[in-house]
Amino acid sequence: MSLDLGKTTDEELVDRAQRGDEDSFNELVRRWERPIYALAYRTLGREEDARDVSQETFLRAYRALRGFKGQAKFSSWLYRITLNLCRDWMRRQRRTPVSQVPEGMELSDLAGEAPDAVSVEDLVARREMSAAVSKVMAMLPEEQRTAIILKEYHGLTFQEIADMLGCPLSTVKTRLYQGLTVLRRNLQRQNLHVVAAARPALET
Amino acid sequence: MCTDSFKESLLGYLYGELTPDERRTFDAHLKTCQPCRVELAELRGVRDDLLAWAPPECRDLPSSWAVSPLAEPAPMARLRAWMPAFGLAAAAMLVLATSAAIANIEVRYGTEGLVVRTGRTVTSADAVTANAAPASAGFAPIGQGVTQADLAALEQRVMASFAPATERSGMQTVALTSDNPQLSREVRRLIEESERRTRQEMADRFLAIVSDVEGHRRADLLRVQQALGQVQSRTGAELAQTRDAVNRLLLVSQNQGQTPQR
Repeated sequence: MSLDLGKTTDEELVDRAQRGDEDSFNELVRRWERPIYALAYRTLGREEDARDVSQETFLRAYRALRGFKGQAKFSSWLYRITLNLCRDWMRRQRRTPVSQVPEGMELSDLAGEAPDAVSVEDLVARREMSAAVSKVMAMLPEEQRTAIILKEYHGLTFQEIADMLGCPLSTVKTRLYQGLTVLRRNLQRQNLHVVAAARPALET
Repeated sequence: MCTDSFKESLLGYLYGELTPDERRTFDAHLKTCQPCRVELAELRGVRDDLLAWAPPECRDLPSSWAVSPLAEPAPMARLRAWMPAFGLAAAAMLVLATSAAIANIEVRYGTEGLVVRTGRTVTSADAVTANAAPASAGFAPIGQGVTQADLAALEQRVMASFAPATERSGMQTVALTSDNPQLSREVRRLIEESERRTRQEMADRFLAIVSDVEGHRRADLLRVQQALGQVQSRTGAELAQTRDAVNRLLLVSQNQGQTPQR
């Protein structure tokens, strides 16, 4: 394949994948697997569940690709599949998202994510903050949590979120606002010790 | 706190989704409204905190399936997927070793001037004895004043110690000094020729390796595709079976529910 897949737009790749070009679909997978995994992880809160859901997302997308008519962005379509799978999964498991500091997570991993971080104190502070956020996010009602994840970590616009969740724009804003307010309160409560210990390290 | 419309603007302001006009209006409002300023600062703080939440690195993302077809034992498949890369590395080592052997150039700078040797050594022992003699002979007199005669004698000794090794290995020894331009040209020509040979050899080998790797890759891809096809048809069949079984179970349990148990 002489074409440079890396520079092709999603739409072109989708078009070619729909005509049976496996390479194009593989490129779409490579392009979106990390955001999809992150979305699933933040929604479900557990590594292996997020992995299963993101794999299932791409399997479904592959099977349903011919039915995708480009009404929405390809990424939005994937996000919607992921969110539906997450919802099904939570219903089946009859439980709310878990908040756990991933076991496999080492300080070196964190160092990889934060290249600017210099000291061990910094890394520890980040890790504690990460755990605190994960905990308070898990306490949010599902709709608020989803809205905040899509906004904060995937940069969707209010309108895109409304389209994806099938609700009015004003509802999205309300959920975001309420979510942020609850997060602020709970983070303050959660962080009393973290902040005291970590903030100076983070700010130096 | 302000009206709902300002609250909505605050959210848009926070996420940068206001039109320039709305933004100006809200900027003006912020100047006069202390509670809105505080609210904005706090929500920004929350957003900063949220940044810290990073998902752990996933080690088994969907794109890695290409090397672990579900139908085959994963470790073997992975191993095979790594083979081309491993082969490439081994081949590269081979090329390096070969080129070093072909070139076999040694450049030294000592009291006897710049010495360049090119050619093949028969045994390492020969080289060691050849090298040891000039080294011990050459470095001793440096501390005391060295005369022209000393140097001449030293050169003779060096040449003498090289002679047996040169005879046996066909090694060419060239003493290079600033007043000998013809020799230096000769040396440069030898080096260039050797380099050209090495490059040619390397290019040939790399071409061979690349076509080999490409062949492997195609074969692997084909096998992966076949395996995926098998998995798909097999999962389909299993799903149908499971559905049947569940249906039967449902029927049975319904029947049991209708007939009194005791």
